[in-house]
Amino acid sequence: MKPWPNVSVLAGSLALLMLSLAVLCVSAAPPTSAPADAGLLGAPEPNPKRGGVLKWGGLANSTLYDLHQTGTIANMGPQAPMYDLLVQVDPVHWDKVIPDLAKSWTISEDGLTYTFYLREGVKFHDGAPLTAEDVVASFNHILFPPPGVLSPRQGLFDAVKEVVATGPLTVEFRLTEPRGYLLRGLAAGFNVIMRKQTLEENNYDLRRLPVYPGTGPFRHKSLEAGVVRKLERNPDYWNPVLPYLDGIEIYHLEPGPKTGAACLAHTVDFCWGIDTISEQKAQKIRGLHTARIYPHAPHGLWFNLKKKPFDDVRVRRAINLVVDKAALVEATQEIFPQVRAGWVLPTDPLFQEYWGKVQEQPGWRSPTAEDRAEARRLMQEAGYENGLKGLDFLVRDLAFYLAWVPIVQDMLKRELKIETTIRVAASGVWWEEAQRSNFDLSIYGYGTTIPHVADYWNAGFKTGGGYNFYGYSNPAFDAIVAATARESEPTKLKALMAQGIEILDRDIPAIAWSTPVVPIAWWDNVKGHGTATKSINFWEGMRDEIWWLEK
Amino acid sequence: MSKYVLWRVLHAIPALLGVTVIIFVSLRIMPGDPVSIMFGTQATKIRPEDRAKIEADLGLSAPLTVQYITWLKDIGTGKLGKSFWRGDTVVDLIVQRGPLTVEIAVMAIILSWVVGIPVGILSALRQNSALDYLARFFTVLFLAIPGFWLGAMIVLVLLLWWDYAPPLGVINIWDDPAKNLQLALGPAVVLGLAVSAYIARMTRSSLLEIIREDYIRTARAKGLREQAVVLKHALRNASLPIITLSGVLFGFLLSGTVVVEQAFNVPGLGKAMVEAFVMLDYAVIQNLVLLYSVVFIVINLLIDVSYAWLDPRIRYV
Repeated sequence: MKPWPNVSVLAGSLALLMLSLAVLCVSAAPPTSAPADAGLLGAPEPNPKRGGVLKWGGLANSTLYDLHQTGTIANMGPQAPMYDLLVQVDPVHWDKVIPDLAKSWTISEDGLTYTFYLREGVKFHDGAPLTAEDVVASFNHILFPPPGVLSPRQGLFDAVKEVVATGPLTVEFRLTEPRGYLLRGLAAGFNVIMRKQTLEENNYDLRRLPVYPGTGPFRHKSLEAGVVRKLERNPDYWNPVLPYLDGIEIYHLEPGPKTGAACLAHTVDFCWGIDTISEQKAQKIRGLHTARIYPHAPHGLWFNLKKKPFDDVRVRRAINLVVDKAALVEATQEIFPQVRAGWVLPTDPLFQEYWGKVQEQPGWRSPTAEDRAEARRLMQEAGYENGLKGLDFLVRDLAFYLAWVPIVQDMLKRELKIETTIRVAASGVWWEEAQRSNFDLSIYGYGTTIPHVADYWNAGFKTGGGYNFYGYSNPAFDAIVAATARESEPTKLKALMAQGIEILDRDIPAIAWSTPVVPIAWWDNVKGHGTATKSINFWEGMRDEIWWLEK
Repeated sequence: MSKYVLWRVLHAIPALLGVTVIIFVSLRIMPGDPVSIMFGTQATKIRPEDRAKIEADLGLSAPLTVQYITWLKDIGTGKLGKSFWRGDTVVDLIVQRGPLTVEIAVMAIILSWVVGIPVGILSALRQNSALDYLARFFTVLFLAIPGFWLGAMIVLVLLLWWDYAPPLGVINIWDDPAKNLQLALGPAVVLGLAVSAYIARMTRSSLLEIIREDYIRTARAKGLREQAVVLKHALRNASLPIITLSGVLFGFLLSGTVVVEQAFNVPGLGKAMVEAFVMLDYAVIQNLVLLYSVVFIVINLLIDVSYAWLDPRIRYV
């Protein structure tokens, strides 16, 4: 196994450095201004052409249709183009939040009231006019879901106490405490505006409703579930310039070689999630372009902190010292490329600074003799000098998890005499077992919505966080997470993050070692994709209204 | 004959009921939780009260007997129930994807006859010759090669050498015959070659047995041409086991499409079945298994009926 760093990882790091510079303002910008509609959106290139049908290939087979209840690309690809958001991430300048259905907004001095002014004359695809009540109903669906309705992004809006229509086209978000990232949260692609009537008629649960009206640039044309969804241009779209395309055909293709094959053979124009072999071949084909997208999705080793031996921090620290994270990241480069991550994710503007400090420190660097000796000392102190036997190492049947698990197993046995039994489970079984705490160790990863540390930490490490199924709880850390959510002043945020990192380094609730990289490819004829192909735009760049086809 | 057919149909009912019980129970004791699968990584966020409501919505909280009877009622109404995840009924799915799978299976069985029967005849008539050994080598080879591997190799070769991949989506033969053929040909060839190996071996062994019979010797003694002896007298009598085998193989072909459609990325019923298993979509799985069972039973009935046509000595009373 090659020692880290190597060329591919260095290249990844360089890309991430550029990426971090690009997003520097995302979490730092204090939301005290009162933006006005800066004009209607258009293609980033001059002279965009109208017409044509874009063929998009990628993961698009979802288990449910309610965009507020889901969190995967499988919904975003086929459904996002049918809906608008209240505000949106600028598809050309990723660090900006710009108007969408809200043509402007104001924020009170204390940061507790956000007032949004909606566009006039916006119509849903069924002809009904957009009103403030639709926006209120949509966010009530997200903020206060009824029983049986899941809202994965509820935590993102934990400070919003109510959403009120103060006029036919005016909506107020009232907060209990400031949230520096509120606009960014509202702009997350899943938080689409639905029709109040649709929500009410379906008891606020649209899981099994394949088609429901939106106000977006494209409207539904046909659906062959699990195969293709076809969309057509919305002729009544409120932005008279958009969309440029006559339609989009979104084909469901399993990520990896099948998506790669469709792109190489040009059966689709744009591919999401190709394999690295196809990526390398695509780079040699004239007219085919590739890029890599960095989702915010930490992956690593999770302990069951609710039972022995992992309720003992010394055992967790010992394991952290001997697990060679760089080797693990390198091991899956060919099947599922990854980049290193830690308590801060690569998409966070402060990542490079953080990583520069920690990458050669014990626990983050590849284990040295000194680290191994310290790990053995910790195990001895914890009473496990003879190692551990019979630990249940539960793992989902995902290719890269299956590649990682024997390596980790070997590291633990070799370095600390910890013997584990690998138990491979289908996804459905894994989630069931994880919820029941029926495991000792597991390899796990989850996606966060916005590139802000509060979202990452809140979901995974805060007491009772959405992805905190493994039992970590530290009130001091919880207080810091809450403070990071409130803070929008960059220096103070950085100081809070340093405190949080210190606690996590001390507690080692889990070992996060990477986030995935998604290779994408597109043919020359596809234009106007803006930041959707520039490394970072994941949830937000899928509406395709400024995309156009060179004929 | 009609009494015989009716008798067979009536006997098929308990067999099908048995299938429904087996698939229903198997799915319920299989590990995994459909609700967790529905929400993916978000599943760890499901509160117990939400889970209870979702399970009730999906009909999973009812007693198993109630769930089973509900399914039987759905079968009775002909709608077969709704997919757990999608708003569409299982009938919609079958209507949308079924024609492609049937087409692949029919093409494969025809290909297996076109390749397998001549190879079997030549092999039998030139027993222990170089041609026979060659034919037997290839039949064993095609029996041994797994369909998913051969399918993957074909896809790779077409892609890497000619930058070719089949078209995407469900394209029926009446929509666009050329594109439909591109979609169905690969899986049909892979399945057809595997089945042709069985057909060739069966043809060879049946013919070897028949051509030693007295009536064949008599036919030759009468001065009939060898072609007439083989095709009219020997092959017709040797065809019964071939037909029987074809019927059984058609059933295997349907199950074979599950693997081969996945390899070729063809959106037929086989691929739908795989996706349904991955997503634990009980409604789709149990109805598709039932459908395959019905097809299997119907084909076997048709084969039995065809015996009477092929061999006048056979009469059903």
